Amino acid sequence: MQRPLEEILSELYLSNIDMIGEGVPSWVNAMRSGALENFNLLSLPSSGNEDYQHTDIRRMFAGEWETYFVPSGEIRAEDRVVPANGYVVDVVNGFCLSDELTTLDNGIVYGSLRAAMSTIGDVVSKYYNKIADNERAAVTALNTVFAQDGAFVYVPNGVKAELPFTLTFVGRSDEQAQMCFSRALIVVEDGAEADVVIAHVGGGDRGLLADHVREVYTGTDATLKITEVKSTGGEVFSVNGNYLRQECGSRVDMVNLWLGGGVTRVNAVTDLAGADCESNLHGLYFANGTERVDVNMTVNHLVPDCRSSELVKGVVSGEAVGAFTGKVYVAPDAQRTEAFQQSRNIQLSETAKVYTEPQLEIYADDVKCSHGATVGQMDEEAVYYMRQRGLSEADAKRLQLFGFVNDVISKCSGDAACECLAGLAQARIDEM
Amino acid sequence: MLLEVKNLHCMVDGKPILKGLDFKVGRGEVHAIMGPNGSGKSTFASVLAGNPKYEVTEGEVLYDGVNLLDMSIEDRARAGLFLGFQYPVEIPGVSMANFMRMAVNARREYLGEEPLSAADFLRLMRDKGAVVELDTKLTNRAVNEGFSGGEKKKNEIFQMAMLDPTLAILDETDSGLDIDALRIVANGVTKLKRPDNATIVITHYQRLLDYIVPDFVHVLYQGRIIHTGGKELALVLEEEGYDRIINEYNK
Ligand SMILES: Nc1ncnc2c1ncn2[C@@H]1O[C@H](COP(=O)(O)OP(=O)(O)OP(=O)(O)O)[C@@H](O)[C@H]1O
Ligand SMILES: [Mg+2]
Repeated sequence: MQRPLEEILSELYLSNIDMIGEGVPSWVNAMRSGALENFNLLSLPSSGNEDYQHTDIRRMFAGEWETYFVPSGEIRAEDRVVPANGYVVDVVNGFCLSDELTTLDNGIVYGSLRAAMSTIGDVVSKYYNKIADNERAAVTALNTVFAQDGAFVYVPNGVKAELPFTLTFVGRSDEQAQMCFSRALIVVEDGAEADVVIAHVGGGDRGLLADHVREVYTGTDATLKITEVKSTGGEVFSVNGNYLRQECGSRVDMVNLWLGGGVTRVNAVTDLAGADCESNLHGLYFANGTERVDVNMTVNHLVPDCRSSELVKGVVSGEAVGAFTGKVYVAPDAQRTEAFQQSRNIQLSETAKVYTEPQLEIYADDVKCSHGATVGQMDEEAVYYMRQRGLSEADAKRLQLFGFVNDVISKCSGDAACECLAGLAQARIDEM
Repeated sequence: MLLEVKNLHCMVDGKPILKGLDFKVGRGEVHAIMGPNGSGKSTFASVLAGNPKYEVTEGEVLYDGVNLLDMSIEDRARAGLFLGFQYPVEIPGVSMANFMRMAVNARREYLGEEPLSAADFLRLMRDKGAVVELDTKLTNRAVNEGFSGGEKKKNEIFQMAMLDPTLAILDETDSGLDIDALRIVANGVTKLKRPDNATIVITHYQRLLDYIVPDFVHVLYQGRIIHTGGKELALVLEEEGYDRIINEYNK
C-alpha cells in the first residue's frame, strides 16, 4: 500500500532537518515542528473538501518532486517580466540570490529573509509567521516547515520609501520536477508608505510545484500599494497563501494578476484588525487551454469602521477552469463596516468553466455589504458596433476584452510596472 | 450610382421583414426614409451594414458597383459605409481615442494610406469634436459608457466626422436630441456633405429635414418602399400621417 502523503512529506523534512535549519536562528526552526504537527493534524485537503473542490491539492503534491535544500539556479533576462526597478530582491527556487541585507539611511531594510532572521531577529520575530494561518491551511503550515529563505521588506515607522520594491520569485526546473517553498515578509510600520511589485516567473519543462507564503503587515496609518503578478511558462503548480494584516487607519491597494501557467490555487486572507482601515483588493486572471485558477479570498472585518472592496475579474477559454470564492466575515461588533465584493467573468468557450461563489457571514447589524457575480460571454452587439467602424472581428474582440480587464490593470502600482503589465495582459488576450 | 438595391428580401429569426425593397442613391444626394414603427427601416440599415442577425434571402445590393452583400462588416465600413446607430452600444473600458485610432487607421489602410501619427490623430479628434461641439471630456471616456441619450447620438456624428464616410446612414439620429443638439448634429451632417458622398437619414420627424434638406423622401412600409417624393413629401406626411399613402398602396 502506498504511504500517505503526509507521512512522505514529514519524512522529507525529518531526514533533511539539519540542512533545512542551517543558517537560520533557532526561534525559526522551533516553529517548524509546531507547523509539522499542524500539517499532520490538518492533512492536505482532498477534492472532497468543499473549499478545495476546484483544485486537487493532493494530486499536486503526490507528484514525483525533487526538493533541493540548498540554493541553486540564477536569474535570467527572461525572468524580468516586470522591470527590476528601485529596491530589488531576487529569489530563485526559494533562495535569495544574494545572502545579503541592504539597510538604507532612513532605516529601510530589504533583501534575504534568512539574512534578516539572523541579523535583525528582534524585528523579524515580531512579524514572521504571526500573520500566516498555520492553524487552518495545511499548505501554509507545510510552507512554514520547509521555507528556508525568501524576500524581506521592512519600512520602519514614519518612513516613506522613495522607490518601489521589486521582488522577483523565480521557480525553475531544468533537470528535475521540483517542489520549492518560498516566503515573503513585508512590513510597513506605523505611518510608513511603500509600493511593492512582486513577480512570480519561470517555469521549465520538468514541472514545478511552488508553495509560496506572503505575509504582509501594515501598521497604524500605513499606506501600501502592492501589485503581484504570476506569469510562468509550462506546467507550474502554484499554491499561494497570501496573508495581510492591517492596523488602524492603514490603507492597502492590492492588485493580483494571474496571467497563467498551469494550475494556481490562492488562499488570500485579509484581517482588518484596527478601526478605519481601507482595503482595496483587485484581481484578474486568465485561464486558457487546460489551465486552472482557483482564487479563495477572505476578508475579515474584525473591528468597526473598516472598508473593503474586492473586484476580481476572470477570462476563461479553451477547457480552462476559473473559480472565485469570496468570503466576507463581519465580526459581531464590527459596526459600520462597508464591504463590497464583485466577481465578473467572461467565458469565451463553452468548454471552459467558471465557478463563482460569494459567501457573506455578517454578525453586526449596522453594515453596508454587497456582492455580485456575473459570468457572461463576449458582447456580440459591441463586436458588431466596432466592426461597423472598420475594426476586424479579431481586433474588436481583443479591444473588448482589454476593456473588460482594463479597470483592474489600470490600478497596478507604479507607472512602469503598470505599463508592462498592460502589455503582458494584452499578449495574454491575443492568445485567448 | 453609389448604391443600388434591387428586390431585397431579408428575414430575422425566420420572420420575413424586408419584402422586395428597391432603392437607389447617387453621389451628392441626400435621401430621407420615413415610415411607421416596425416597418423595417432599421432592418434595412442593418442589412446594408452587414449585421449577421439578418439573413438576406433574395435580391442584390451594389455599392459603388461591387456586391456589398459579399463584403464583411468591416470591409463595408472601410469602404466608406457608415451606420449611425439608433441605439449606440456602450463598450466599457474601451477609450474613445483608442477605438477611433484603430477605426481611422483601418480605413486608411484599406485606402492605401499611412496610419496617422499620434499628433495628427489628436488634432483630428479635436477638429472633428468641434464640428459637433462634443465636449472633449466625452472623447476621453470609454465608448458611450454613461453617455446621455443625446451625447450618444452626438458621438455617432463625431465618429462619422472622424471616418469621413462615402455613404452615411443615420438611423433616427434626431431622436432624443434637444433643440440645440438637433441643430448642432444637423449642421454637422451638412458640413460633412460633399459632391462625392451621400447620406441616408431615417427619421420620424420633418424638423430634422429643415436642416438636412433631402433630395428625396421615401416611405417604407411593410418591408418595401411604397412611395417616393421630394422634400415637400415630409411636410405632407407630418400633416396627414401615413394613412392616405398606405391606403393608396393597398388598392
Ligand atoms: N431580432 C429580431 N427578432 C424578431 N423580430 C425583429 C428583430 N429585429 C426586428 N424585428 C422586427 O422587424 C420589424 C422591423 O423592425 P425595424 O426595427 O426594422 O423597424 P423600424 O422601421 O426601424 O421601426 P422604428 O421606427 O420603431 O425604429 C419589427 O416588426 C420588429 O419587431
Ligand atoms: Mg428603427
